[in-house]
Amino acid sequence: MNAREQILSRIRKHKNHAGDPVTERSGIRLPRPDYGPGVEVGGVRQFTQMLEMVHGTWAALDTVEEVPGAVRAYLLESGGPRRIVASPDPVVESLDWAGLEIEHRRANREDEVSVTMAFAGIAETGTVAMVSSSRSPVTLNFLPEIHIVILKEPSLVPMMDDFWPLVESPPRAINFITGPSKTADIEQTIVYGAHGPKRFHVLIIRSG
Amino acid sequence: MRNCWWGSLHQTGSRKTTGNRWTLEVLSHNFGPASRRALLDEDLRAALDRAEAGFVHTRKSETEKLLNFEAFREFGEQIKDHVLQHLDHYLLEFEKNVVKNGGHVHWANNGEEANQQILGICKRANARKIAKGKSMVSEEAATNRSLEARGYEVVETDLGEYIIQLAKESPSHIIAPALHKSKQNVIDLFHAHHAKLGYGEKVMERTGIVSQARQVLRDHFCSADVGITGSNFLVAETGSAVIVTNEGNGDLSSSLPRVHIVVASMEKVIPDLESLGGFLRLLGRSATGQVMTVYTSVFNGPKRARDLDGPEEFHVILLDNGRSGILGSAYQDILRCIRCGACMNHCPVYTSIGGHAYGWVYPGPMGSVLTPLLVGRDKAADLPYACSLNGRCETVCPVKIPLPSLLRKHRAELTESNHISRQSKFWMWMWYQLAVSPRLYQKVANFLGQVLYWGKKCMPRDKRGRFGWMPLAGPWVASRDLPAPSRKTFQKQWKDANLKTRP
Repeated sequence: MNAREQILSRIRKHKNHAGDPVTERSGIRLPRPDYGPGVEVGGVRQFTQMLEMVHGTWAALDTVEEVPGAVRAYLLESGGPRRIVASPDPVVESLDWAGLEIEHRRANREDEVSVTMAFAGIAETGTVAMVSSSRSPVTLNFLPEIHIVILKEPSLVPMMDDFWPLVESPPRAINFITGPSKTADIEQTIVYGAHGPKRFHVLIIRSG
Repeated sequence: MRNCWWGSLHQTGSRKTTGNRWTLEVLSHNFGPASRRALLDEDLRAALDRAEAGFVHTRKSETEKLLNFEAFREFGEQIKDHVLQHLDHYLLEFEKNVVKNGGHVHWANNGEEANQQILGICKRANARKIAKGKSMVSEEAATNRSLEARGYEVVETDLGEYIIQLAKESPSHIIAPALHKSKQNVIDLFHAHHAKLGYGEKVMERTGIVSQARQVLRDHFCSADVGITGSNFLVAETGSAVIVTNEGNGDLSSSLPRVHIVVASMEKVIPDLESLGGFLRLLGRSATGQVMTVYTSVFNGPKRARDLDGPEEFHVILLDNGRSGILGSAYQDILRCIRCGACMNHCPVYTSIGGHAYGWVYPGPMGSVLTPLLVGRDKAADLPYACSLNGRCETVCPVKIPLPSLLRKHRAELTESNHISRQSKFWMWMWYQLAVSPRLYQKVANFLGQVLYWGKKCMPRDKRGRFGWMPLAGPWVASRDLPAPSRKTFQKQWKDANLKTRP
């Protein structure tokens, strides 16, 4: 008998129950989060409020064509380099990136700034959801020090529970990102930029 | 570097590989002396005070904002109970879906078997360097030691874990492993270990320390062949391993190396993505008072054909290591634990002595319940007594584990199995006789009160009249305040007062 059989037989021996898991599971309902009267879960306002709470920054744009300008402005303001690496996403590739050195590929060690396209946003927690694919390599989300994410307003959902149905076939990885990387491992004091990006900036596109 | 007691404890071979089910040596029998030493360590006290203040306050404020947090606790409790009732079903469903996603599932009865499987995967992958994300079950199995013994280079990548790896220690908190280390400790450790890497100057500022760790660990991430991480939740419905971090080290460990191995104990399995939504609302708030940790990552197997990054192989090791023995027992509730650490943050014993005194992987209330079950009650007989039964741990537990009752159950069974001395048993029996007979209790209490009242002049007392020594009860009064009694008992005084006021 291999370990698998041994473990399963021990589990079955100790079990004192024989109901149907599917029927029983359906009897347990996930509560809807209640943040008090007047607080409706969802919407850009909640998203940006939650994002600010975790030291994320954002800007609202009317169209996706404004993205390169907003990236330039952000990098100028924050003193970041003008060399960026962006997702090999058709929408991102089609923009006019004049004035910036840009490559569309996965990230490498030396890359300092990345621009990616979010799959969705989650208002309740101020989170962006990145879904890995050939258009969205995960290294872009973690290696550079500055991560700029494009989020189209129509892809903002109220809760994580509303996000799952949007994903069709299971990607290799889904990364929910809520603010810049941080650590409190030295005397419980927060320092940003532990392993992932030090700065996390979301560009919200109103028109979608 | 300061040679602290826990450092010396671990240097003297606590990670010895034994032929046992548990490869990390258990030092819990040493709880008494270890906790006394911890109480005298002022640096440790300062670190614990800082942590308690932070964790307790932030948890409170964030759980209060979610008005129906209680409903989520109930949801968490019910889902976990449900999974434990059907554990075989969910593990098989999980296995089926991991395979469907292109991954592999390995089952391990104990830590030794898990280590063998990890070694096998590393060997087949021709690996040399392994980047490790935080994993408490790999502490149980002493996986690092097993890998290092076979010549692999293992680098912990969570900053806290990395710090204690440099210091050759073990985690003192399940989510803040280097909680006991001061900034100065870290400065010295980094100076000692990073000088040879070209970081000659001491970095004094926190941001500088973190940035240096980032650079050093980045080299390791980029050159590692295998990444090993733990998992917070295994989702049966999708075959996903979910990892929650703030630093992003779990993501780099699982994206850059060629092979990703997830090590998880089998009770981590949950039914579906809907329940994940429930547990994520509980975990961050209970652990660090975060609505959502910075990175919540859901891994579904290896790199897809057209992906530009990600590992070529994805393995999950499902570890039993004693869990199946707890299933169906009076202690089954402890298997609901999601390892948030709230119970220890709110425990007056943990926040006074820290994690190392508990002598094994898991400290605090959940550790005091789990350790005796996993390593044997005889090896950890003191842990169930490291509790004042104040009940705070149960009130803050996100999955409503009745920790104080489970600790009491341990105590009862320890007493029944003669783990306590005959003398203690005799005095407990005497106490029992008094407690069940109020009249006898009153008489004896009155008598002892009189003895202490009249005899107080013969016994040393402090300025406020409290005893410093007493025959037969020296150790008891040494650590507790017992004021000298008044001449009349409370009952007597009450009776007299009532007689006076009655018309």
